[in-house]
Amino acid sequence: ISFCFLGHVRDPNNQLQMVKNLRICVNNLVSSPIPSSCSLSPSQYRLLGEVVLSSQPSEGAQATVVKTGDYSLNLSGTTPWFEAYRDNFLQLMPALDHEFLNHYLACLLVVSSTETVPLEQFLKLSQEQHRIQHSGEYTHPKWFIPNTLKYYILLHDMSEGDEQRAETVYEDMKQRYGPHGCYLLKINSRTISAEQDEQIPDPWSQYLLRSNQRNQVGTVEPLTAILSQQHCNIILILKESTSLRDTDTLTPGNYGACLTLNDHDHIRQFVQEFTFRGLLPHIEKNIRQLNDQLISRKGLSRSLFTATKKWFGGGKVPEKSSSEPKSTYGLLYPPEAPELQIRKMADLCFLVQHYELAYSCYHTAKKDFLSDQAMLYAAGALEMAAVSAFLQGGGPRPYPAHYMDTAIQTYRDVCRNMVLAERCALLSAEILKSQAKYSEAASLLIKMTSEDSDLRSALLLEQAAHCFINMRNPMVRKFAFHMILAGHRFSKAGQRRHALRCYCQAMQVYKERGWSLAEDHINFTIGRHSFTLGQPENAVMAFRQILVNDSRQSATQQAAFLREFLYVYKVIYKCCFTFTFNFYSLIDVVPVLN
Amino acid sequence: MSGSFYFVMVGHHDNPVFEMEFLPAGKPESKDDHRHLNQFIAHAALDLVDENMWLSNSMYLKTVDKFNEWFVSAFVTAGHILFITQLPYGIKNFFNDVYDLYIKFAMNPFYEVNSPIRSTAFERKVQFLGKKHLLS
Repeated sequence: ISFCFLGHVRDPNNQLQMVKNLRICVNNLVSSPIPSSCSLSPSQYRLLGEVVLSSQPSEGAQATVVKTGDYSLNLSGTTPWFEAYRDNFLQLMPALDHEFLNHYLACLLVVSSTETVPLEQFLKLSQEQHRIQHSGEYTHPKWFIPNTLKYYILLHDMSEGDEQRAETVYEDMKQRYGPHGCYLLKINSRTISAEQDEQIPDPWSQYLLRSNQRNQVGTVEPLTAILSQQHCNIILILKESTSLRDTDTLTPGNYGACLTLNDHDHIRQFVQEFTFRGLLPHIEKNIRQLNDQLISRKGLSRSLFTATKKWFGGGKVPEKSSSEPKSTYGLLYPPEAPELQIRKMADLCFLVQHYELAYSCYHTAKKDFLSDQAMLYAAGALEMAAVSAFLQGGGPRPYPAHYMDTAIQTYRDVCRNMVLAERCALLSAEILKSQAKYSEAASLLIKMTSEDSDLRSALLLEQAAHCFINMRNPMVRKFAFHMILAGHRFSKAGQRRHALRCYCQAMQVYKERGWSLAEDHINFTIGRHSFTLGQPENAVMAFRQILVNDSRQSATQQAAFLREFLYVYKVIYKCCFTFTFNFYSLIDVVPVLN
Repeated sequence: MSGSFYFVMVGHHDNPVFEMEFLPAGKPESKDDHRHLNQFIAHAALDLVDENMWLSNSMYLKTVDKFNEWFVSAFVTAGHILFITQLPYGIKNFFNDVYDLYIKFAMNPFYEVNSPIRSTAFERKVQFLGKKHLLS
């Protein structure tokens, strides 16, 4: 569930920083996913495949006409299947140890007002959270800081339970946790009745039915890919016996059936309260703390460290607090290592959109990590430094594109983590496209294609093709070639409709120019795919094209084409008594096979 | 397909005017399902030829494009008819000789510029030049 806001925080220099459209993501403790390290699970890949499969161009979709030189092409201007893939891919990214943007910042502890002693329950939940975070038994969920913000919510169901009592309990809570640490949320003011006289819209619907619905959007801001990364993660812990009255009748679209519009407001207010009084101050405080820590460390330990390093020459110095399990890609830090504090501070600044401070922190972090040969962390810092610089807009420094390139290369070659490399490449491509650097974006995307994933390669090749066509001087032939390559990979990935679409679009460029072998190949493929997808007329037309023109193919190849045509023809017209095609006239046109 | 070369002359409307494949002696004709790849690669390189031809004074453009292990070199004539081959080393002499041949051929008043060249004599001569410069 996400919410959007406007707020402000103060940075360590006491400058006011506006926070626009802050998004909060709330997850149930139980349902937080099991993290995996270097790649997505097979079921996640399947999900991505399905997402792409279900996103097809709609009938009569808006087509753009591109006119350049000799060519006038009709293309679909948008690729919603790619956006679906990208958004789902970014969401499936597991939380990792070298970056904190996916880690949980706060915890909402919820107890119902019908409990006999709610305060005791709160205490229990709080201890539970502490245990989960600090006992070391749980590898997930990952928590941002040792001192996670705990926010206590007393949930009061208006239709049952005593409102007065709830108020009293709330007063007690305020005594214990402070007025900004807790909240009384009243909901369910409506009684379920057999006939719904007024339809209150389901407030959760737009969040729960995400991926399938979003494909309908025509144009999507390219920056949403980046901005969707930014949200604060919150965990929700519910006392077990707390159950909302309408849980028995829960069906999709029916959540929140008992909420009135007033209740919607209450919920909005609650989230606002939580964010402004609880979350943002918490983040501010932590930024300040980390900043102080770093300043005090900077003066003393850095110079000491470099001095002793010179003495011992290269080897790791005992002073260094991190014990170093080395991995194949360099140093690994323990979670609370001082070297990671600056990365944490950078991430917090990034979440509250203080990109300038975030950039300088990432920049410093990168230098530290590189000198420690901690390559995974360095790549992460480089990636985020570039994103911060970009989001800063008209900042004093130009966009450091080489950071992104180094990050991708490091992820791919040194750390061998294709998932991170892919994410980095997707972000980088979006940034380059928004700067109209289409040629660079295209080369980047093409470099990321590989043998191991047909679906990813297909999508990236298609995107590269679109980059070529979007250039100031459109590279039409490159576009066509990469659409062919994309179509081929789509076909290998089992996405026939997408494959057919790619080949048909590319055909516009090659048609009737005399590249007969190429045309034949495309027509043959179009014919085959059309036939499999149940478009027999298109199949016949495509095959006919091959046979009608003068063929420069070899005898065996021509025979193969003819065979395929006859097979398709037979299957289609098996049941017809009258031939719409005069088969015999066709024979005259077929070239002599020598 | 290493060691073999594909040569195409392209007209003003992106149309191939003449094509020839050069295979080292003793090699069977290349597989049917890859011959179209030559056309695709050459065609795609045209964009870069367009871009690069204004940057250089000479007619011979060294490698303009690359796809996997195949390199594309180009030679741009005054009438903007482009020669493209794919091969790993310089073939300047080949280009120059074929260009001479083409000029003589184009002077024939019956030949319409930009139309496909269908002369067996021309083919034989280009084959000879290919053997001389490329396959030795």
